[in-house]
Amino acid sequence: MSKNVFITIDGKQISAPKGANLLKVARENSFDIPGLCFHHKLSPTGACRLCLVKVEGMRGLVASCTLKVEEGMIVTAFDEELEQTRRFLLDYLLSEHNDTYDNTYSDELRVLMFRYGLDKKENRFFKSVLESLNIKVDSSSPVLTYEPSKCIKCFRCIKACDEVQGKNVLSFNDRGINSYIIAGSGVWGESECDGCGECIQLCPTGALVEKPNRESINLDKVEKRVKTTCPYCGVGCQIELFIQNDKIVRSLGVEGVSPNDGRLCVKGRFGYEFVHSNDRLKTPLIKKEGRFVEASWDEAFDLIASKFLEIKEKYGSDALAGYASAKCTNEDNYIFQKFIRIAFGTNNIDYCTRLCHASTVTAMLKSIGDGAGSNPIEDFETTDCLLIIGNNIVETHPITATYVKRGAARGQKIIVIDPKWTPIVRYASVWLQPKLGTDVALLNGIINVIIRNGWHNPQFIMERVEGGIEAFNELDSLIKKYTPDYVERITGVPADKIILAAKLYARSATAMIATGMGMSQQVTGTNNVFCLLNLMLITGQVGRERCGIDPPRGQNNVQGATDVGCHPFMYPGYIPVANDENKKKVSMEWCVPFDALSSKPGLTTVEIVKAAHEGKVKALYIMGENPMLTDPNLNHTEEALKNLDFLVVQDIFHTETTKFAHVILPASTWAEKNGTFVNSDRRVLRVRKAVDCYGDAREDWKIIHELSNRMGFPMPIYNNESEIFDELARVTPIMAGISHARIELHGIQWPCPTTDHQGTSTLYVDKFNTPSGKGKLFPVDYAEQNERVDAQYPFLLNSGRILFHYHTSTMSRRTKVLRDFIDASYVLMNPNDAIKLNLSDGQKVKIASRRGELETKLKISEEVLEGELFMPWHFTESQVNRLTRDELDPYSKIAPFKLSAVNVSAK
Amino acid sequence: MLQEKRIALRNSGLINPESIEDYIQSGGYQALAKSLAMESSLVYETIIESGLRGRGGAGFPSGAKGKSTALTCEDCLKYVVCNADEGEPGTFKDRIIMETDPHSLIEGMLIAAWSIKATKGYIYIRGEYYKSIERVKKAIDQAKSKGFLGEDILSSGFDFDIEVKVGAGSYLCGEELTLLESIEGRRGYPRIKPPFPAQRGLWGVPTLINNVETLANFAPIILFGADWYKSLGTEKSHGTKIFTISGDVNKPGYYEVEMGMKLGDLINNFAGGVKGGNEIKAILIGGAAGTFASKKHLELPLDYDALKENGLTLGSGAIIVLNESRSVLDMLRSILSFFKHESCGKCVPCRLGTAHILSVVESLEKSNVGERESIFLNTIKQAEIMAKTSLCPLGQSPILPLKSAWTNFSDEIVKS
Amino acid sequence: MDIKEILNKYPKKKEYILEILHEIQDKEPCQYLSNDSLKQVANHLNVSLAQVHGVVGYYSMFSTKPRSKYLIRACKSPICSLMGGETVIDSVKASLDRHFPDKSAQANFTIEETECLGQCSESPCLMLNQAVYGNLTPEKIDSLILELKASL
Repeated sequence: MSKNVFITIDGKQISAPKGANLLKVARENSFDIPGLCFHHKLSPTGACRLCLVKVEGMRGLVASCTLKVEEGMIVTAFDEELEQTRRFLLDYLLSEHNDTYDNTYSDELRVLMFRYGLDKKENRFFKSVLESLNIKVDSSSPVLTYEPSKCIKCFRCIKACDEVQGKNVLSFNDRGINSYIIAGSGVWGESECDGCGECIQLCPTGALVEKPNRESINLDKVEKRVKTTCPYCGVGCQIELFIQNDKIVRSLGVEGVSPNDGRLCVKGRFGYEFVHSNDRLKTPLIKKEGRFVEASWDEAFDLIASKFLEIKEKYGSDALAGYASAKCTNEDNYIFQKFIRIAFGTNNIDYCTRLCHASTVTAMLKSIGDGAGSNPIEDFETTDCLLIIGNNIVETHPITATYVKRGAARGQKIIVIDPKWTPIVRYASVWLQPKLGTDVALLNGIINVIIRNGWHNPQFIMERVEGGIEAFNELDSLIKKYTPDYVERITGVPADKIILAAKLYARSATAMIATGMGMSQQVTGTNNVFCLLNLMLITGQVGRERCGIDPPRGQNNVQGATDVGCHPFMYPGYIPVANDENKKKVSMEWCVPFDALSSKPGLTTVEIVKAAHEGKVKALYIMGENPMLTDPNLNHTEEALKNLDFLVVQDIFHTETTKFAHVILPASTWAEKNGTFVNSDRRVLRVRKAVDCYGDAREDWKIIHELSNRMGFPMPIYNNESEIFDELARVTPIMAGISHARIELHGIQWPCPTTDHQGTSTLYVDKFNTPSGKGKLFPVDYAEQNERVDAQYPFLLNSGRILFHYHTSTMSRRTKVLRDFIDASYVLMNPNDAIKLNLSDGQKVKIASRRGELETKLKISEEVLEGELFMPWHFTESQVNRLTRDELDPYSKIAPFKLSAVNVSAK
Repeated sequence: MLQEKRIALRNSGLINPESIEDYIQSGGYQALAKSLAMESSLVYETIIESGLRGRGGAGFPSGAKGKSTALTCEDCLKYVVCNADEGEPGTFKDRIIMETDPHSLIEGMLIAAWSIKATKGYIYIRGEYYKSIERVKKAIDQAKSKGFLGEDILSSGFDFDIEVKVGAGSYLCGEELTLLESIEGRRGYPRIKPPFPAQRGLWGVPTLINNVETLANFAPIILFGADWYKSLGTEKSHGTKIFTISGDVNKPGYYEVEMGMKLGDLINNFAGGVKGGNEIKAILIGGAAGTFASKKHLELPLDYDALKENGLTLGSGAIIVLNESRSVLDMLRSILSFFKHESCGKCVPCRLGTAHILSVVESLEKSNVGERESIFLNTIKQAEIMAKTSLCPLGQSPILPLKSAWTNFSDEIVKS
Repeated sequence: MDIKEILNKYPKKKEYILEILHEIQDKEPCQYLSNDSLKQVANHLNVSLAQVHGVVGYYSMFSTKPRSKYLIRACKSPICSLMGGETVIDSVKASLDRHFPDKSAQANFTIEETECLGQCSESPCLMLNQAVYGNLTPEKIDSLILELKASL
């Protein structure tokens, strides 16, 4: 806590924290000292010299942006000399600036120009120097244009890229008055710039302006600015949408709020175009004689209601199932699970989380009692040691990665475990590259080193682990054989790296684990995560600030959808359905008879598909999900969907799944509704309606609400989404204290049990959420996978995401900027393998597995080990899941997307 | 008696610069031995006592710098940096030292390092000084092989090593804070001060930066004492200075004389007087960041304060003589062109100022005689604001030649 | 010239960037830094491409455009200008025209300006690759060019 001191500015006494930035303090106290190179997110530069002030005891004029507040400072911010000097310097600056203005960006220099009367020619004394500077415009980037004649060389863009985003893509080139900004080796579009737009957001002039909508946007004509949460990944960045003519024309990062403090990635900044795509579904569609025909809502509702009721009557409640949506709001999802449980009368409700972090959540629930991240996003920067395993964090959670990079710059130790190179490896203190599927062995090896060296925490084990030393000894006896040499033989990771990783993690004062799909999406997914939890528990790296385990969540609301009950075994708030007490409470709140609800745990996502295939599930209601691209073993999935008697798909676009629907209902995007999301660090965040629904499309919850009505299960009237949330909060103890009103400005992290509770930043500080209050160890042994390579299928295929596209890319591939970066499928192969197979870079290849095949293009890369391949799964023309299998993890029921045996041949 | 007094240049021309044996034989590394036997603080106190001021141009008391660095922290990591990025036009004294007596620089660095207990040193030599780089590197290797560098030097327990860093064509990298940026592998932008290098320098660690000529004086001062050094020169500018003389003189070159030598004596007695028997018109003292003196200043003693009192600066000790046929305005134009080329471009007043004042001075020729005074005074006003507002000494420099040119040559400027 | 060999002599630290760039440029027959070599430098030092290009662009001794076997840098500092330096380049060009009437042979020579070389007592001067020539006159320049012609 820095203490406050008193300073004087122009005779006025001001209290400010000691060491605070003088310029910032002055401005906060209404002394609007001009300055163009200063930005509160960046280290001070002192380049523009406009913020010069006089300080008693200091010689001459000093730049206030470079000074820290000290007790008794006496500052002159405004006097004739200072103002004249500022006008002079601005006149200088304007002589290298092209004053034309097209209203497409906010221009801080222009504001100063008017303020100091320099818009009038008679007040300008310096001839323009622009003619002598022949620097060309760079418009090669898909996201922005660099206009050097408007550049005031303030360093903000460079610092934004370096200090805020940790990317170092920009620099000045040349020197003096001939300086200009370059990205990479000088052509922006060929540089490493990934379009995050931090430089654009911080540029004080029109030197860097976004390309999308440049022709149409006019800041004077922007009707409103709406703050909401990004619809892409689970970081939950706060964005501000600019609306002009009822269209989104810009998206800016909101500064000063968690989790992103103004930072965005390319998707958050530019990925809104899909909202206004002409491909949007705008009316209900009913399949008649194999073709989709437009229909009215009434027609659609009546048909759906009657069919669902018919199937329920004929085959029983469990013949119906529903897929909720990780992209829809909590309110949408809460109503959906209510509908499935009441109107269908089954617990067959699940969604894509089963394909994602199911293993993580299953293991965490069993071991420590909560399936959500234990720490806030800021801890990624401040923890002493970060273990990132199976998580391409830079590409999948770019903003979380900015925290990690800033941590690295401060000396944080980073352990990366990944069979494939990912950009975070550049920051790693050590990178362990195990062969696919050998994670249990590797993690047990790390635990072995820790125990052997006495680096574990006996006190923590005694006090906070169930079974104390006994449980530890049980783990220890299993671990004994996992010596570094033994583990090296299995995993291919050198023993010295295993030892280093163990030392870094166990011996750091604080340590956090970030675990991703690489761990979860395996047939041993749950076991993988058990090993991580064992590691965490025996070292005591949990239950304190900056310690714990954070699985960065993939979707914008994958966390929330489970939180509010879209789970076959659990009601909202992780309360098991197979428990009469719980059922009683819920049925009372929902005003339904006790017996109306099923006590039987339902089917999970892939189990629903299997059951459809077997004819046990007859009807399926899918909201905002695309199993025909996301599910494993797509050939099998396709057969399953075709086998359904009745399929309803509620979505915003036609997808690979809607093809098989009997009725398609047009739904709303995140920009067209009010509600909330829950992000990776359990923060409940507001989503606000910015534009009207497209065509005849409706908000998801309203569609479900009406359908429930038509089926004879009317729900209460909700005047708005806030009322839905209030009901949700009553049923969900972890969110009991949260409401729309409370999260107007900042999100609140659950658990938040009461309305005066501030939310919970770090979990497990006092106890774990297990019945005993202690954490549980689950020793697991390594076993080879069933899916093995052989002569026919000699490669192991890994799959995953890339930065520019998002999951099934229904949104991202309808956004030009994202397609400009990358728009085609590929497979990565190690150069030695390519040589052996006589394949060349860019060649068309066929990939086949025991399940199916596809065609794609080859990219030779050292990012993958010999014998392994990697494909991004976003591209519908090369559906990776044709190749994957649906052998499930026995606990989490997740499919092993990360490992399939395949072969590759020239096309 | 008008003779050179060679202290920094004590061995220059007398020994083989590539022979450490020669250096040792002429008393080399004895001062090092003496220093190592002293308390390290006594070393910098001796330098303070001697009154030695930075010979790079700023004239800051060298010993005080060392003391400030030493006192930042007792046992932490510290560096010594030798600024051999001699870029001031008209200046080549450091090159002479490095080419003719590189060991004097190394010994000086060793003494400086011991005084602040630094364990690593860097000599940053401008990239164009190929011979200096070669000779200094060779001398370092020789010093290492003789145990004057490395671990446990002369069995004192003191470790010190030196690395040569090479510049690549930037005058501004001779400015202390920019020098540090360049050593760290970046574009040469000056840092914000405070913090000063003595507190936070290279890689955030206390760093002592000294000029070549300054360091070349350390060994004699330690060997012969502060009092001896104080007895040379003038009351406030002790010791000697190497002056590099060029331009319209018969014997351009370098001369090390006691501070206080008269300007006229330096030009006439040492540099052989004005070439071709012409009259002197102007003397540019201190290089581009220097001042124009006129005939009436020939009687002035060359020391920091006497010059300052007369609106002139000693700077690096570069002396450029212009005869009566030369144009002060032309010289000014060259100087301003130099500044524009060397400006890093970080701060507004310098980046734009150096461009604008050059174009104004260039246009002076084409303007009417009647307008010239106001045009030139406007240029001075710009340079004054640049001096008041620029981030570093480069932007603060053009006022020096401009104002002194106007003070002493306004007639010529207006009428030529 | 094997860039990897040069790079491997230096620790992978940014502080060695100037030394590395100098060595690569000096060993390159056309005395410049290609995009490809800069990419390798960036990889070796684990810095971004822009950071390497930015350093190259700041320091006037480096060039990203190919020069030639003979790099002539004429000093244009205030002192050399005073002492006739402004005509040095013209004299060099005149000598080249005289001794290499076939312009294509002149491709072996690149002429640039440079700031003060610290050889002011011998002004005007120029640097030919790493050697300095002072007290220049048109005649001296001419004999220098002739000497170079002989060695081509």
